Amino acid sequence: MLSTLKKGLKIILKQKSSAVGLILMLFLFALILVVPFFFHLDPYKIDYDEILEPPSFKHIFGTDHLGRDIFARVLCGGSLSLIAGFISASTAMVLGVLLGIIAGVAGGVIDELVRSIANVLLSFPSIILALAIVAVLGPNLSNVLLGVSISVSPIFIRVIRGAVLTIMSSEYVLGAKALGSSRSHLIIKYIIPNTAPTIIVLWTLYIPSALISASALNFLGLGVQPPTPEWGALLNDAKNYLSTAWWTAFFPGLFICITVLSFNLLGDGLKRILDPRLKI
Amino acid sequence: MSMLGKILLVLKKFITFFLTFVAAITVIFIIMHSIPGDPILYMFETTTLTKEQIEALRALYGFNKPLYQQYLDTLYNFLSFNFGRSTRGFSVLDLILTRLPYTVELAIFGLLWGIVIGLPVGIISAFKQETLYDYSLYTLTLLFISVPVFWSGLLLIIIFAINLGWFPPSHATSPNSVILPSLTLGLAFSGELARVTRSSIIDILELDYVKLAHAKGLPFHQIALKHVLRNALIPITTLCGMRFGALLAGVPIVETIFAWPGIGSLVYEAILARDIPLVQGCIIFMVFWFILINSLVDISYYYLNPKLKAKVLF
Repeated sequence: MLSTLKKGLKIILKQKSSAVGLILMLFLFALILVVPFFFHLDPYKIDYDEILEPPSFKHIFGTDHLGRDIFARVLCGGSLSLIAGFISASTAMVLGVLLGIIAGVAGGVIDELVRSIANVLLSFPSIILALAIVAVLGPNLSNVLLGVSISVSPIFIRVIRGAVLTIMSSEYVLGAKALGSSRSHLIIKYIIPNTAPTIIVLWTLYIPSALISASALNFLGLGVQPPTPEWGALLNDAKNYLSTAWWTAFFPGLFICITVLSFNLLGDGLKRILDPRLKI
Repeated sequence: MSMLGKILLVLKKFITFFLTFVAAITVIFIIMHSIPGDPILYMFETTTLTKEQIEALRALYGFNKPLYQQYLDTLYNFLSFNFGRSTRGFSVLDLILTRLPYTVELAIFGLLWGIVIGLPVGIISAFKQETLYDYSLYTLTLLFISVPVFWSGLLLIIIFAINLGWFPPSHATSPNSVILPSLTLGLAFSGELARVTRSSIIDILELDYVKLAHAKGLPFHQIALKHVLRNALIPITTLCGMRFGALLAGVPIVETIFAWPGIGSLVYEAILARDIPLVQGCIIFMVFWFILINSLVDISYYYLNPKLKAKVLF
């Protein structure tokens, strides 16, 4: 286990972009998880004497319309945004792995059915499906997570099904089948180990886009409700004070951007390692 | 491709389009019928209504019929382009059609910005591959892909509308109102387009006929234009077509930020007003557009690509 981890880390660090992404990500995680805990930042403390103060030594990111410290709100809100991206991408991945493997291994009618479900879900333009789900079930964070997971899952289903089909038609699987291997044996012995790299890369690439979708719904006010801090929700607050207080919009967005960038760098590097013929 | 092949291709795409549309209506029907509790209580302020009025509303929206009947009605109505009425009594299709020109305008300008920024970036990084230009442009495109539109939109408003005062910050009040929202969309698209352009040009640069053209001593600009760019255009146009379809379907977030009166902001307003018939109509209209454009792009792809022309698709 430890040696696999070491090997994986070595591969990541060999690619310049994925190394930069990993370092950026670790720095960000440290900032979001450690700083609020050690410095006792309070994202809810209202101070009417310091409304919409620009960045200063006391409030390095400035304050918002209720005098709350934006540095505290951005850092504390970060964990919620990250968890949202992480949970929705992971749920989509689990759905994709289950349905993709079932479709690829079973073939026939089941395969056709799974493929059509994925295609129909892909026929909804980007965020519309998530928007519809949240609109109907009501605005709160768990519905946002459900909506985003469902709208991201068809990509996982499609890619994993494709990967499984390739493996199923390879000679070693045909050989194993000829020797009388059962389906469960094929799945555990050949399919899961061989699709794992694809699944991991896909997961890394879709955490940031799930994070953006979830933040976008929060930005529209359809997710977390005030006063809970979350990056998208912070931007929603900020949009009414653009003309007087740029810092309320600048810092939450900057953090989304850095997070997404670090995941994309890591994912890009991983993609290139797994497929050397791929150009960017 | 023979004449028969062409007809078969279009027919096959049409059938796929129709089936996808029916399936999409089904998905929307399922979502809309998972409203927790009574849909009439959800949609209307029912405290002022009498019991008879509530029953009348229930009958009006067909909620008193059995579920399969409601499903068949929904399917029939949408397939015959009868989008019904919003809770305020307006025709849903009329509401959509008054908003459509704005969404089309935004989509065209968004696509143009994406091409104007993304294409040169992709071309330069492909011809200068593995140089400092390439690496810095790569970082730039990655940045464009990573920036969420709801942040870049706000930043553009702060810089160009509030500080510089060049463009109005929101609403479609003057002819230059479209610049900032379309630039927001264009920036996001340009990163993606630049990458596809780069990789498709690099693929072609490695082919033998390009090497031969170099060996023949043809001037660089001639090779670049005639041999490389013309052949790299296929994946680029496909991407543009698909993105145009997505833009035409409406972009709720950007339209909301800029208070742009398109279909995207219509669906957002409908959600806030809990106007389920309007939400449903808008989303089905968006999906219709989106899959229609994608089918057309698919068909044109077979015409554009000489390699696929030779094959009949069955």
